[in-house]
Amino acid sequence: DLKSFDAEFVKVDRATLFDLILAANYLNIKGLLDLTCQTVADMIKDNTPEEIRKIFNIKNDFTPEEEAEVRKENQWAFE
Amino acid sequence: MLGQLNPDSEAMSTCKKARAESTSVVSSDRLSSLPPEIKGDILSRLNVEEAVRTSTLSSTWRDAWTNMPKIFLRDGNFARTKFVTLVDMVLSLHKGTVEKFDISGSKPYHDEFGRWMLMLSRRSPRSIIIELKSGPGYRIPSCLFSIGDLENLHLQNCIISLPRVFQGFKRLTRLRLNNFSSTDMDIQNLVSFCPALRSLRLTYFEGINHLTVQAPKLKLLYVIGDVEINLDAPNLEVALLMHHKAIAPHSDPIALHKESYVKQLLGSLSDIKSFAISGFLLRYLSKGCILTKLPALFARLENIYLAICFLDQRQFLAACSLFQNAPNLKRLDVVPMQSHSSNTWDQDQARIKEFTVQVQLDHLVTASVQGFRGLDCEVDFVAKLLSWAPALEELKIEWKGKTECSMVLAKLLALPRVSPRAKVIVTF
Repeated sequence: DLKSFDAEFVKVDRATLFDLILAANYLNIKGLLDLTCQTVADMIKDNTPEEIRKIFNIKNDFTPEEEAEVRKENQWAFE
Repeated sequence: MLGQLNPDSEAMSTCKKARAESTSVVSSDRLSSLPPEIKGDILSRLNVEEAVRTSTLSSTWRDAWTNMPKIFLRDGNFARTKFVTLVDMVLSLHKGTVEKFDISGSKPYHDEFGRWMLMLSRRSPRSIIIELKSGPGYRIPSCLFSIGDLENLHLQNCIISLPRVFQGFKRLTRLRLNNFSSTDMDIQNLVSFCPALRSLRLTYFEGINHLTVQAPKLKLLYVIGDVEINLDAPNLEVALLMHHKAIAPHSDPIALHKESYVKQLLGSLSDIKSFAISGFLLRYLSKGCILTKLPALFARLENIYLAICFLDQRQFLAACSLFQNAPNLKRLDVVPMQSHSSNTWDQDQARIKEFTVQVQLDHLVTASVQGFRGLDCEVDFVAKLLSWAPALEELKIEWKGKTECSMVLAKLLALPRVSPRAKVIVTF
């Protein structure tokens, strides 16, 4: 069925996933864009910022003071 | 120096390795380098608090959430005050355009609701969904009615009272009001001031008894509640009209009035493609033991969903009238309702088997009975259905009976069918 096809379709390495997102965006294929963006969102969900950085290789370019400042600004969104 | 430019194998591989490393460091954080509208799309798929948390990932992400086009707020595990702060902060700090604002909560926020609506209306969102289920209805403030670009509005548990100066929602295509109270005039005006309306759902309401629905572009109408509708919607394709309470027995003059009302209503629905109706409404069409002539031929009607009490002869006959007037019916879904066995009810007991009604459902291909309990009247109806539909391919029966089903199944399987291809599928 379609759901399991979709689930299998996005079981690719990260680079391919981003290639798919950009291709879907450029070619204006809404269904594919929805599926791939949702996949990325699901990878962000339920993960701490540190875990998210690890999954996506995001370089933390904040100084410890800056990071603490941002965290404090948005304290209301954290547990 | 010249020596260093000589490409000997070790230097070559070191060069390659350095190149590979540098490209992997530069290109491996592809998430951050996505175009902003895609980042916004991805963040929009998270609950707001999760999106805000991405602000600590890196400097590129610090403000990314403030531009996300859709805002989803769920009070789930939040304490009431924490959720209030969350909503306040999001509505003040978000600075991009808000395409969609969707808030749902199970705790009461009546003290904050007014200021939230004010802050929200300043963002001019295109789509608003508010499902705050707890406590008395939320009075929708006038600022919400001034959001000119609104395209989709879905409100639950609220009180709708139009402001004196209401310009209308010129671009509203979908309106859904659930569990609300208002007045005939307010809802009527709301609908007529939304000329682009394509989908209207009014379910479970108070204070509305007679409604004129004037909507030239309306394609879908769902109404669940006890209201008389005067319908002017020439482009309507799908209509669902259900009562959520059993209609109390009526005296004769009221019954007569109801009969002409239902006839007029059906007349205004003659072009629709899909129709869902409760038998309690249909029964006014039947004069007890004969089929009445319906005011219209439902030439385009392909799908019928019928909530019907088979023990009520009038409902059964009225349903037959409907079938007779829907020559192109392709799909029929039936939901048997409990009979209301009060002694004061003027219920003519039916023996469906005994009726020889001439119904031809030449194009009926699929049918289903949802919530089949194995009663004789239900089996009799299935028998009739199988004799009316020469092109039937599938009849699905969803068993919900409490009694032993093998006897009933045997009866069902033994029923003659006029369509050689008909399959009877029973699900549990």
